[in-house]
Amino acid sequence: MAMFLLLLIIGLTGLLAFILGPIKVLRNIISLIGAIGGLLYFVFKIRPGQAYALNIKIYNVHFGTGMSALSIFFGIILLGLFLIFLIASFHEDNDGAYYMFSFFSLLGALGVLFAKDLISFFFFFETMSLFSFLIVLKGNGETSHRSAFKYVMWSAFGAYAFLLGTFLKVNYTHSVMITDISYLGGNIKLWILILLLTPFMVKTALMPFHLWAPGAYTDSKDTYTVFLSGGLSKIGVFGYFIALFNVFSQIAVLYPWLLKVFAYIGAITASLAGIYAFMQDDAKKLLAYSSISQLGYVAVGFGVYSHFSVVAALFHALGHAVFESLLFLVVAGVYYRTKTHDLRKMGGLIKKMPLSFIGLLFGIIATSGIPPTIGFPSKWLLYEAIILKNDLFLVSLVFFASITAFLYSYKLIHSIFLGKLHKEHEHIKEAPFGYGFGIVVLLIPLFVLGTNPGIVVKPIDYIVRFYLKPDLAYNLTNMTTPLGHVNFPAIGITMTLLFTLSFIIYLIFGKSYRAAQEDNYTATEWIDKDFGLHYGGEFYGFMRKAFGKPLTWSFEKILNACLKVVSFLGEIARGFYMGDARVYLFYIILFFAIIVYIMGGKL
Amino acid sequence: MVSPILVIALTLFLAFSIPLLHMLSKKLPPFVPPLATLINLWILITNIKHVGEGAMLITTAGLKPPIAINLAIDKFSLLFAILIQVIGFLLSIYYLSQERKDMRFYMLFLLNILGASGIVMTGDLFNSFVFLEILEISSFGLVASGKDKKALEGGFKYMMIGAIGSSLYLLGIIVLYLSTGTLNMAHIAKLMPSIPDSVKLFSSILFLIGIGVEVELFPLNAWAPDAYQGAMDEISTQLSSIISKTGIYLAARIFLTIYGGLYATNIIFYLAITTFIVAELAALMQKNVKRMLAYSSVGQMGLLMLILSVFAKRGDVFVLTTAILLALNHAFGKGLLFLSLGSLTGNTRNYDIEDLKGAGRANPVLGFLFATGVLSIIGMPIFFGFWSKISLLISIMKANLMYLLALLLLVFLVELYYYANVIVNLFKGEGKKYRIGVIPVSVMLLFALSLIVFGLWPHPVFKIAQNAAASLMERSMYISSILGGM
Repeated sequence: MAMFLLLLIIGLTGLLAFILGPIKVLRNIISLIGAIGGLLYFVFKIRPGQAYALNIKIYNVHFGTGMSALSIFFGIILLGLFLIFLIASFHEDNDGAYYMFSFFSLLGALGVLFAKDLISFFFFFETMSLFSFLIVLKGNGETSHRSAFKYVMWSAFGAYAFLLGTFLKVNYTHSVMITDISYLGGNIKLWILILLLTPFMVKTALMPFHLWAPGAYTDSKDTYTVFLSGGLSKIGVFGYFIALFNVFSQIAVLYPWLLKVFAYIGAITASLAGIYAFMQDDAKKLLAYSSISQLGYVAVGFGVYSHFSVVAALFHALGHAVFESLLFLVVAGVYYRTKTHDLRKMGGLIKKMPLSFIGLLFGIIATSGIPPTIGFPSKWLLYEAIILKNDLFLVSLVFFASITAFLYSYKLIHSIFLGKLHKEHEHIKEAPFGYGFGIVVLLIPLFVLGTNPGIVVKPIDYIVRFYLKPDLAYNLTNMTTPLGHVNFPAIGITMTLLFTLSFIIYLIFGKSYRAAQEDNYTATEWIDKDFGLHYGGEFYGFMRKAFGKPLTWSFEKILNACLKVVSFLGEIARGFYMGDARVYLFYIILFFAIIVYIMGGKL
Repeated sequence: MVSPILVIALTLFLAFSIPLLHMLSKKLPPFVPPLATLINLWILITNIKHVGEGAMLITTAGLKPPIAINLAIDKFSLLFAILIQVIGFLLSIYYLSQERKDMRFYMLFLLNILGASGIVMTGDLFNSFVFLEILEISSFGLVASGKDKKALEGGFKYMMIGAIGSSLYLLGIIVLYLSTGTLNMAHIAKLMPSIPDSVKLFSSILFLIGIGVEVELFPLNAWAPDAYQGAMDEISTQLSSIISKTGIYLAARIFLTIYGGLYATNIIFYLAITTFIVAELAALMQKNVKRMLAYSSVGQMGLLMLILSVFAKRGDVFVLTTAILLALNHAFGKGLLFLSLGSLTGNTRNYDIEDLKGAGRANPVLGFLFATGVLSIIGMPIFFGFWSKISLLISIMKANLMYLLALLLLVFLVELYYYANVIVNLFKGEGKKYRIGVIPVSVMLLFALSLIVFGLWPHPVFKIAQNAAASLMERSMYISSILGGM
């Protein structure tokens, strides 16, 4: 019942926000109360093992909403991020419908976490997709319509694949519940598994299902992107877990090659998306590809399929929720002040927006997986897990992906905050409260969980231990794997000390002089003070030359070819209806003749 | 209890009193259709509790069947009769907002409602032909009552094809009459085992073509896009929500009740699939939104026929329930789409997708209404369409037609493609703002609310649909309740 009430609270808040749409203050207060209330209710009332059935009579399908610890894990991520999104979004110019849609998309996502049977899973999944589609459609970009269209088509592709998988499963097992199918005979179970995995691969934007993501992340409103990338993509990770463990527990025995393929897809996604990311000149597009790349690691973790690789994957999902949201939030705050996402038009904002700078700095440190941030433990575990699998090619792919993370991170922070300040940004202030609040709140888990990963590893381990043989010993701050031992605070402190030390050495011995932000070397050319010299335009231009060829390969071309075929069929179909009355009469006569001919033998 | 025969008598009387009322005052005719449909609705509702198992028999001329013409109303007919009156009432309210000089339009409208109600209530085969003719001829008139060339073209095409269809239908009746000597549906159904197979087959082919025109089966539906496109928006609503649904009723009644199962099931099965695929593919390439909706209607009718043929293959009350849910969803969803599309274009009759740009953003209420219709038709959750689509897929799964299920999902993706394109276009850029009256908006809101409310709370509709489906399945009950005893 508690779960149903929670969904009701969320839904009613959304409805109220819509009704109160014109009265801004009241609307904001109500939605804030709803979101906070939802979070508190979730934390205090929802426990593993609860179940509730809402009976939709005719199907004998119960809307079972049962809970597992995993649902709680992801539910808290979702509700927390939603709250951060909500507070920041009050600074934007939004209408009531926008808030209704966002609450409903949250409702859908929570419903997915609660679903015990596949049909209600589908119901909530579609609800989530539908309302996030509407939000992307309401976005502010010029191409937001194109992006929204792509988003809904890809979501539907995934959802229909899921539906086909569901019905195949129901047809063979006569149960709509999420139950194990690995005991089924024949190859049908493989198809069911792949079909059930599809929507989650779409949701986490695993290549080649990522085509919707850059557009949707870029063109949705800035604050909602925080929730879309950080929050809703976690439904995909949740789905991986459901599909690989609950639906198909024997995958490592029956189809080990599928896991391998999955891991490789994840690694390729991580590397390719990383390359795409540092080629971008749009801050949000860069982060979109970064998000895709980071979720690729999660897929690798699931693909490696050992106890602590899955722990690492889930931990990384949480990490992704923290640092990717942080990065998106900073960019949203910067956009709020500068009205641009174009990296070439920004620069030197470090003194104007110090808090945002700090947020972004630690965000990219976490993205690159450097201690003492939340990005480190998961990557450390992940590397060890892959090394234990003896798959050197996979290791090198994942390492390569990490390098790309350094590259795009540096581009991001340099283009926005370092270098020369643009003249039109001289009077810019720090991002307003909503953004700052989110940044500060997200920085807390970024450090706390980076140095004390045990807080989260404990519940994750509790979930994973049930399915895989545990080979990871840990306490609050330490972890021991078959490869060795690590103490996270020690590493963090060492890292910080080393950094400070080298910084001090650099200060003392480095040959440098303090240059004002406007001070630029221009080789005998005297230039005006407001002439833009910020190195942002062809950032990594040489890389573009190096990777130029692969960048033109695109899954989109294959898709377009398919579309052409369908359009051709459509033209043929349409041609049938283009005649005049005589032609139509001829159809009838022909039809009559054919039918009589076919059935003639029986007359 | 008020005799349901009054539905027919009263509608007929009111239809022909319109010219007289017109002489009294020119303002009176528009108020007759709402009055008539409301009274009809009341009559039918008072009869709900009298229709139990089997059919309720209303005799005329004091003669017991199979002698005279009589009405036979079971829950299935009652559901369709009520649906017709509800949609008719909403539409006639909608007409109140329009200035229309010609009172003959209202006569045609009422005659159309009369024909549809007659078809779903009669228990006599020849009588159903008469009502079918009334329905079709008034439809031709309604379609052609638009003011432009397209309307005339659509009306003409519909008339040509419709006339052939109904004459083949009559031929089918004649063949059955020759071999049974009766026109009473229940009586023919009872005598069905004694009819030679070849006669059954031949007559069912004739019926297939006759009804196929009405239900827009593939090679017989060429008239439909032209008629839908040419007709005024409200008439398109009527075509998709009332007239084509009457065709479905007729198909179910004749093939399931009289023949006791589809003859040539496989032919209808494949034709229905072809209808669905061809129509959806044709819609994909369509730039004219109204014609796109027309193709989509044809496609949905294909789905309905498909599910009927699936029922004939693997009989299950759930499959029939699904058919009714689909019919209800389509009646309300597509009706809403046609109505709101008209308002979104500002009644300019310019339906080009490029010209609709931003219309939804400029008119948020209309945009919401149109989007509701679309989302329900494509079966998104929280709308009623979700349940009908899910039960459609469940039925097909139960019939073990997994390849068909995969095919349907693929075509649903095509369907989503063109609908999403329209929606995205509606909310792109700035459009023109239109003034619309309170009456049209409230009528459309009623359509939309019913889709949302029953999307969130589908139990009552399920129950009704299930009862109706069960009564359609109980063929022997139908026969015995009309003819008395077995």
